[in-house]
Amino acid sequence: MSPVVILETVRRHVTHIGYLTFLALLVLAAFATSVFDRPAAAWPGLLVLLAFVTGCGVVGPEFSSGTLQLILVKPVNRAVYLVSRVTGVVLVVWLAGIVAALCELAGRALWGDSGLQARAIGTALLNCATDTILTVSFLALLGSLTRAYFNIGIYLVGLIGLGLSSVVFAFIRQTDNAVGRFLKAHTGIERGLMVIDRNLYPDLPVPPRFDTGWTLMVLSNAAIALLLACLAFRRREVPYGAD
Amino acid sequence: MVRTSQRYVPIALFILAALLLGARVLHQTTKSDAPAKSSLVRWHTPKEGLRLAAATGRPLLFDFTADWCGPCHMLDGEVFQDPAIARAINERFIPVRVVDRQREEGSNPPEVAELQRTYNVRGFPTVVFAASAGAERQRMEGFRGRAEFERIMERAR
Repeated sequence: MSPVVILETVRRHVTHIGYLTFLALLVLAAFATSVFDRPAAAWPGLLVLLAFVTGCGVVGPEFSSGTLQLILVKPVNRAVYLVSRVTGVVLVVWLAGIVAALCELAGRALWGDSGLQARAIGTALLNCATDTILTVSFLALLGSLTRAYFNIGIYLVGLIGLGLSSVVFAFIRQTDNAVGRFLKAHTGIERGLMVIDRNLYPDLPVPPRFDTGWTLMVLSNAAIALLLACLAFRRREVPYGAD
Repeated sequence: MVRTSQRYVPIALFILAALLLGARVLHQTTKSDAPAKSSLVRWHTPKEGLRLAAATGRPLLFDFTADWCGPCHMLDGEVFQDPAIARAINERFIPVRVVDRQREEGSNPPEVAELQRTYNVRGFPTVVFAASAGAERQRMEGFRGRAEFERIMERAR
């Protein structure tokens, strides 16, 4: 990996006003929810959002802005560049997660009345950190295949489409028409969609707990996404100048 | 030298992905062979539970749940895995877990479908407290926290 690319990615993010604003929001949410009985009630959700927002700019926008060509003339392998970019973004999200977890712990120590719950908060942080790797890797894969911010569109269509499909299919299944009967007879369709949904957009374990199966699923999917992203990125033609 | 070693990044990623996939498959295989995660509440199947309630006269606690249901896992983790609550449930009730398989298998076993109809289960989780003969006493729909569960359980005694 390239330390220069990683450090530059981290520097670019942590000095960005958007990131700092989001970090302030995370800190507020962590302190505000430290009085709740349930640990890590709000910030893991925000961290998932941060992973999405930061992950969508890994490579796609650089194709369109023309900056990618300037970077790739340097003696750095494309795969190394991509993995380093992903690592930098993941580190930035982890940093925000650590700040949020520490703020919740501080809040609980100062004014909470349901104990420190450090173990649960630590587990929530670990799960968020794992989930971040998949989110950013998946967005890097989509970014390697598309230009600009099309990766966000594809990611969101998948997320919303798969989420809605289970509700719509469940509703149709209750009806007694031909489609409903077809779905009842072919349960593999719904099961398949559920498996895809669970693999690409995994929900964080609630309440926070360490689940080996979940962790292995997320990490293996992230590794596959990153591998495919590297292969796609290596073969991509980099346009000269901006679109 | 550096550039040559950089070429091996995709290969390293491939090995990592293969190892993680292997570990995932291995975990999945060993998990299905291992006994289910131990629960503090001694759950019975619907058939067993109804038979035991008729024999002992103890009231029933039905937990209508589904594998895909997130709030059901929260109820399990925060309420049924609480040693004090689990002890109270085991002492006072015949706990029966009714797992919905509609989404996974397209239909439910007859006894599950029958219980869902009898207690008009509209969503998960639904916890129904019933007399040994089956008459409903109290119910909790959705996950409303440990304190609320304890309050409803006290009312159902």
